[in-house]
Amino acid sequence: MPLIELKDVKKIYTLGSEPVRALDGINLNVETGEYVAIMGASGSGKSTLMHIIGCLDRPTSGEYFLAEKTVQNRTEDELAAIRNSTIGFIFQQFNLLPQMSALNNVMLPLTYAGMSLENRRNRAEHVLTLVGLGSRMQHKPNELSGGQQQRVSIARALANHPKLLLADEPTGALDSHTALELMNLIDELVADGMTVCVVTHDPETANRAKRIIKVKDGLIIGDEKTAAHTKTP
Amino acid sequence: MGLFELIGIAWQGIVDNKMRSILTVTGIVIGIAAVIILLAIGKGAEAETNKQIQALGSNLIYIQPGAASTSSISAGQGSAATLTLDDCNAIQEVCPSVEDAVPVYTSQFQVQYSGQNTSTRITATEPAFAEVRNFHAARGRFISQADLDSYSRVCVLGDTVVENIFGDGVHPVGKSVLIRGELFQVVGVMEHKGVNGFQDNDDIVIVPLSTGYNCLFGTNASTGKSVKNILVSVKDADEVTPAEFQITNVLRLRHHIVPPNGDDFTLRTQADLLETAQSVNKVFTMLLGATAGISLLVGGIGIMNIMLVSVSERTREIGIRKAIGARYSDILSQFVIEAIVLSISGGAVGIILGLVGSNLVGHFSGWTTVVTPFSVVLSFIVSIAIGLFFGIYPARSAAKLDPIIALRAD
Repeated sequence: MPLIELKDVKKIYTLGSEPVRALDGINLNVETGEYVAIMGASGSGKSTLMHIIGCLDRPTSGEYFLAEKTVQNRTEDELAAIRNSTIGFIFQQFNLLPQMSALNNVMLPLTYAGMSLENRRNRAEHVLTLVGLGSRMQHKPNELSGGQQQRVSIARALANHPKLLLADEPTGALDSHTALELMNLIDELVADGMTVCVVTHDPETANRAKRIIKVKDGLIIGDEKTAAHTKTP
Repeated sequence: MGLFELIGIAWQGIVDNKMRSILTVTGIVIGIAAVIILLAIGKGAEAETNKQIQALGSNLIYIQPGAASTSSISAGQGSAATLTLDDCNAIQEVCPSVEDAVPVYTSQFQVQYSGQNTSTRITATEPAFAEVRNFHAARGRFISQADLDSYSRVCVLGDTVVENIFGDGVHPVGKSVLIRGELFQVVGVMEHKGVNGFQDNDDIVIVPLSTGYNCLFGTNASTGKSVKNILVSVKDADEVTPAEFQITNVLRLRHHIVPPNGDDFTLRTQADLLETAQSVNKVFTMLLGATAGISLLVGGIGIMNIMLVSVSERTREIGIRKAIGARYSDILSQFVIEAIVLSISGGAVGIILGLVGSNLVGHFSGWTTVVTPFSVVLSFIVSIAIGLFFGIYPARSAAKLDPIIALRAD
């Protein structure tokens, strides 16, 4: 059973009187442990697809199973709980809360999961150490470099043992050297068995994945294995 | 998330935006302080009035003449000249519960001393007045029975009158003043009694009743020596009701009043006076409270305003929180608690300011101010309620935000 299973998923907005078919029948399976890149130009529907995979949005029609559980017909609060327990988000703009320390940022999803303060602190310290920020836990985001901020956001995404890591243009705001370091970190996570979905329009970033899905006009127009796939045993 | 933690986060948010938080709570601070100070002034006035009325003696009955009426036009209570000196003597002699019955005649006249003059209440009465009213001479002496018997032209001055017509350092006792053009020798000065409601108890000149009839007021053609009111002291506080009954009967007999004809006099006890004064004070306190309440309302709207600004400024933060798993109730409680913490901080500062302010007002104006625990507790509850009431709308709009749209915000 795949981790992500989309069956004829459509998302139709009404903009004024014009219906906009952002997704026009997507069928997609992603197995546990896969490393997938979703590519497409802006307006292709890749962001909408990411929102639906990330349970931030609900499809107009079609079926979506995440970790064998159906996602449609869920309430807002149920979706929030799924996001909290199953998905780790990494955003282009990091999206850390500026007034909180790195540690508190990482503790936040655990707080919403209802974990006790002590367990939260231990877990957050553990994942921050994992991403190499063990010595900067009390720093606020504006006291950290871009690469470090993105590491904090990866730590936050990993904090609650997610089944899926969803990264939206994770290298978009980083210089090439830092971007490379970050992609290496993601490789390590994949090697440890994490399922990763990267949404990007940058071919270099996409080519790090083992499978590239190309989206255009709300449809999947390409789904192929990359060189990285054949390279790894 | 624990309540304690939410409060901590809210407090952090308030501290992070110090200036804005201070400006936001200013309305609440002023409102709460105003409520406490104004209620303290109202309560103080009430306590002061009660004290003064009680100081008059608890077993006192005032008898006033009824309303004078000519062809169904009533001239108001006390305007008829139906009470006489003989009524007073009869009450003294006949009513067993009555200790003393003191006749009082008052009229507004000019009083002069060496070029200075003032218009004051001339009170003609008997020596027992001092005892019954619990109002004694501080210097010199009060009028005596001998003054009464010999129609002496002597008078005792109230504090205010002394201030008005005597210069500094002049000792009034022994001096002569002109009352309505007649010379009177000052034999004493009354103790300070203070202001009771709208009446200055010290704006008074006391003369013997006999002298008053002789050279100031004259006598009434039909009723002879009429009096403006009779002060009755009852032997014991428990005997007020029997005394009222006895006096009513004596006066009805003497005035030939047969029911259903109305009495041509009214009795007022201390309890009646207290009740009247308290109802006046209650209205006064309520008005003050309402004024303060308006500033609280304005303060609450200020909080709502800033919370709405805060929600729209923090749209992205709300989006992030939702993306990583915050539910509707998490966001709602975060913002409601923030509003409540804000208004409680304002309320606490307001309460402190109100306590200090009440003392300052009391100190500088000379009014009695009484801060009741009730007004403090009320203020505290009101500030929580304001936070809840004015915070819930902004918090709901935050909690309802779509995470995708919120994440796109700058």
